[in-house]
Formats: sequence, structure tokens, C-alpha cells
Amino acid sequence: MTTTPFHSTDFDNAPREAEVSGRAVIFGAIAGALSLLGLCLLALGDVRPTSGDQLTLFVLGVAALICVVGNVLGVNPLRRLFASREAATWALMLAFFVVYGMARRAGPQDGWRLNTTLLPDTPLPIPYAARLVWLGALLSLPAWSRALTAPTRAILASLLLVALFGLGSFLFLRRFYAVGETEILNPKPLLDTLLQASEYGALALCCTAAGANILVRRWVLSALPILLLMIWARHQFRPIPLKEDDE
Amino acid sequence: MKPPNRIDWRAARTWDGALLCLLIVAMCSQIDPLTLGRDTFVTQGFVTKQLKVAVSDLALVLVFGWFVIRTTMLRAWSKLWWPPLPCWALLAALLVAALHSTTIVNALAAGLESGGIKGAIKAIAAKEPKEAIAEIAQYAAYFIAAPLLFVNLMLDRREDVLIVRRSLALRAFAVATGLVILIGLAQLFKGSDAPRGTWQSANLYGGFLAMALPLLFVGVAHRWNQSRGTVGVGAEILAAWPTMVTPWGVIGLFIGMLLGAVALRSVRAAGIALVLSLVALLSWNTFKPLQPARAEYFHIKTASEKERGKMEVKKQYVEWYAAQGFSAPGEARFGTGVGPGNYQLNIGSYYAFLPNAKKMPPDSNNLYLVQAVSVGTLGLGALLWIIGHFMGVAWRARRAFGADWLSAGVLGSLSAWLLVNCFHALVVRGLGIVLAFVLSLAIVALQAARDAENRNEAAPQKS
Repeated sequence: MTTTPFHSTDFDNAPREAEVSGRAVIFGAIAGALSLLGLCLLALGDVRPTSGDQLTLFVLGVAALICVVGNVLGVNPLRRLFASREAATWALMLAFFVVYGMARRAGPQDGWRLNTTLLPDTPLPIPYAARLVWLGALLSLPAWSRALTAPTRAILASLLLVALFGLGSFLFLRRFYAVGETEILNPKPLLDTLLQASEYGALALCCTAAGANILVRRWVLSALPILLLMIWARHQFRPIPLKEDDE
Repeated sequence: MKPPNRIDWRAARTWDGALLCLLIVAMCSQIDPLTLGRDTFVTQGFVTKQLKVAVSDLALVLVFGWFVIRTTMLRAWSKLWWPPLPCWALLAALLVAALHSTTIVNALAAGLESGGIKGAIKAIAAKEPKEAIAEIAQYAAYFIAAPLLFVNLMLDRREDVLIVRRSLALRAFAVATGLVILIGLAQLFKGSDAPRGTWQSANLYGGFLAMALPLLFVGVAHRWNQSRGTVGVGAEILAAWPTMVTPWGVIGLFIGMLLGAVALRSVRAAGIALVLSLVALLSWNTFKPLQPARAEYFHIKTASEKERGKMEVKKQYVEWYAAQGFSAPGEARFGTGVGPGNYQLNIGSYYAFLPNAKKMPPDSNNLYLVQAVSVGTLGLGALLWIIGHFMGVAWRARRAFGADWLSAGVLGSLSAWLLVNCFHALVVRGLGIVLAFVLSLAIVALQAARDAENRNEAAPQKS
């Protein structure tokens, strides 16, 4: 071991994130924020949440409220969390990956459908939530393209990895087994994976865009606890009644 | 004058060094002296998973406990390095995955309804919640507690002094790796067809060597005239090859060595890594004692245990596709998974008509898919964020201070880790702490870069 005079250094100070600005960025950030708001509106609709949804929404809502109050009161760690684009993006993804699971189940399941050659008799329904995030990702391009954070890249990498493993294993197994919905190798899980990977990828980009501009970020993070607790309360105190065929 | 019977905490730095070495040696093993939970099969006729506690886990708890006490006595909390945001993000993802898991929440709700608080506490001991708590504790240990310990013991800030224990830690690691390989060799000479050193399976043994040896190789490659180190590490690499059964471990090892050498910008080292890897791979099937076990890895199919005479694709490859079942639209598990530690409890239901011919060898899962299914794409993303962050730190250290080798070694080791995890999940007892050690070395490498920078700035002032 060696002893050296101590220099006050920040051990692994990563390059500080530069704030991005400009009209296009603000427009993109607002588009991202509006698509997230749209997801919340869908989740407030005729969706039956699971017990896990309710508990998570409540806990995340309370945690977000603590962060907002802490930021207002000037509690240092929470203030730094608010100011950091990476932390904000992660917080939004944490919340909206849960909200999206609910929003996805909202709305009629007929309408837009995706026909594939692998499953010609079973087209895949495209939920309203998917259309919203795809549109949101497209419109918010000016924001997320200039503010792609490390967590966003990591999430996109994880989605790509899952999709590649699914596709690779399907292509490998089809050499040995018959492919079909009632055969050994059912292509539906692969199609579900590819579709959801694109949806959650678009969602991650919307979250990135919403956190790109400091003003929009502050508004979105401040509104987050209200939205989460509102969704929780709506389903807690005015639950959707069970239909006869659900019992 | 020192009062009698009072501990001199400033002298406790000897204990810091000793306990750091103890932890490094203990982490290179997966010996389980303790098992938590009852074996319910005999008494109650069903199996519940028992939680195994390894020597490395006990060492981590012991050293962490010491660390907390001594840091408090030294009033050094404000001087500590703390794990960065990605580590905490992973913990948050795990907690959200646990809260969002319907089976875990329903189990707790049922317990609460039937027996109040006592019922809820009893429910925690049931399968799904127990696995979740164990997994969260494990990940918190590997990605928060262990890096915190390693960095702050290797870069020990106390009062106005920075004590650097980098060489001590690396030497301890080299010695521990050598001991593991010696045990593997002993097993080989005793007639084992799949040596595993101090690990529970040959796959984990291969994974450990794939992480450890590239780091040590780069350490000696940067200065060939360090004869003892070069001979020692060279002997370790040559001795490791005849004891490794998994080809993925060997491929990972040589890719790690090659990429480490490339990061070091050493043509000679890259050449040596390339030659060694070609020789090892071309002669893979010629080593007779391990030939049957090694050859088995290349068989795509295996005999079915259920249907006599039928050959099916091996389970570890089928399971890559079965895992896609977690994306079923109605289940809402794609984002947050089925719950931490609940992979094995759920994967069976995703098989549908897929063949499940024969139980796969231990530690043959794809870590990325296990992580995606249990903690969702959010959890997998957080894990990749951590690895990416520390590789980024190592890369910055490499660019800032080209004379130091450590960052190149870290990059080589982590590259090997990324590859091997496609075939053998390496975030397990023991290896999780080894990963934390390698991640911590990235921080240590950056500190070396900063020290060099400060020395360069100070030098013109002195003259």
C-alpha cells in the first residue's frame, strides 16, 4: 500500500450533462410530455388494474411526492435528483413502464391490427397506447435525439438484446420443429416480444424527450406524483365493476 | 498519552488491508457453509427452495460490519466514495419489480387477510416473496455494498492522507486465482471429468477464469520485465486451459485477453493472446481427460428423458425462446418482469408445446433473459447501465492516463463477462462480488489517472 497526500478530487466525476435548449427541443419535450399525459388518461379509463399495479402506483406516487416536496424545501440530494437529466429520465421510465402496462390494456382490442406471415389467421391488435407512444416518439425526435441519456441507451440496448435473443432462438429452433400457432414452435411469443420492444422503446424515447429541457422536466416531475396518485385513487375508490364473464 | 484499553482507530488500517485480502480470497469461491430454511420434502412432502449462504457472503457481511464501525470511529463518512446513480437505479428497478409482481403482492395480501401482520410476515417466508427478498438483498450486496467496500478500502481516505491498497488487492486476487486453478488441477489429476475449482459447477469455474485471467494478463503484459509476475500469471493461464470444460468460458477468456491487449495498445500482447487462443481452440478436443465433457457442449441435441429414443434440442437453447413468453400481452410483465428471483417459478409455464427433454446442467442460463423475465426490461436496462457506466469510467481513465494498465484490464475482464453471460449466468454467490471488485478497479484506475494529472500540474510549480 502507498500513502500519498490527499487531493480533494471527485472520484469518478462523469462529464457533466450539458443542458439542451432551442425551440425544436422545447417542442419535442412538450410532445414527449403530452404523450406521457395521454398514457395517464388511458390508464384512468376502463382498465382493470392488477393488485401489483395499485400497490406500485401508490408507492411510486408517494415517493415522487417526497422528491417534489424535498426539492421545494431545498433538500440537497433530492434537488440534485431533480436537476440531473439522467435521474429524471430514469424516474420517468420507472413510473411510466408501470403506467404503460395499464394503458396498453385500455380501449377496444379491435381496430388497428398487424397482419404477419408467421400468423396469418391471428393478426396482432395494436393498442391505443402503442399508437400514442409511437407518435410521441416521432414528434419528440428533436428533443431525444439531442439528449439521449445513458439510461435511455441502456434500456434501448436491453430491448434490442431481448428481441435479438428471441429472433435468433426462433430462427434456430425452426430448423428442428414445425412452426404454427398449434405446433411445437408457436411464433406468437416472438411477435409479442418484437411488438412490445418497439412500444417500450418508443416509451423510453418519450420519457427522454420529456426530461430533455429543464423547464419541461420540472413541470413533468412536479406533476408526476399527482398523476400517479390520481390513477391509483381512481381505481381504488371507483373500481371498474366486474363483468359477468369475468367472474 | 493514549488512555488504556482504547482502540487506536488510526492503526486500524492494518485491519483494513487484512480484511480486504480476506474478502478477495473468499470471493473466489462458492462454498456454502450455511443453508437457510427447512427441507420440507421429508416432513411435508413438497420442496421449497432453501437459501444458501456462501463463505463469500459471510466475508462480505463481516468486512462490511467492520467498515461501518471503523468509518464511524474515524468520522470519515463524508470522505467516502459512494456507488453512482446506475447502482441505485438497479435497486429501484428491483423494488418496483417486486411491488408490481401480482403473485408476490397476492401472497402478501392473502397472508395479511388470514393472519394480520403475523400472517403477512409468515407469507414473506412463502416461495415468491422469499425469493424476491433474497434476490434484492443479493443485488444490493453486489452492486452497492461490495463496490462501496472495495473502492473505499483500496482508496482509503482518512484525515489528510489517501492510502492506496491497489497493489495489495491485485496481488491477493492473483494469488487467490492461482489457488483456485491449483484446486482445479488437483481435481483433474484425481480423475474429475469437469474440474470446478472452488465453485459449485464447471460453468461458474470457467466464468470466473474468463473474468480473472484477462485482468491479470494485461497486468503483466504492460511490463514484460516483471519476471515473477509474468511467470506466475503465464503459468496460471497455461494451467487454466486444461481444467476448463466450458468452451464459452474459454472463448470469453481469450476475447477478454485480446480486447484488453488492444485497449493497452500492445501489439505484442495482442499477438500473444491471439496465438494462445488459436492454439487453445484448435486443440480443444484433443485433451483426452476432458474430451467427453467438452464435446457435450457442442451437441445441440440430447436424448429425451420422457420419450425413449427421441432426440430433442437441449433445454438451455429451447429456454431462450421459452423466455419470450414473458411478453404475453395480458400479463403486463414485459416492463417489470415476474418478480426478482421468480424466474424458475415461472419459466416452466412459458414452455407450452416446446420440448423439455432433460434438465439442463447447472448455471447454463442466459443471464440477460433471466434478468428480463424476473425484473423486466427495466431491470435488464439498469444492469446494462451499470456495466456501461463502469466501462465508460475505465475508458476515460485509459484515455487520460495511457501509462497505466489497470483500465485496459478492466475493459478486457468486463468484455469477457458480457459474452459468457449469454451462456452462463454469472451474477451468483461469489462471482457477484468478483464483478463488484472488477467494477471498483475502474474507479481505482481513474484515481490513478487523476493522481498522475495532479503530479504533472504540481511539477512545473516546484521547479
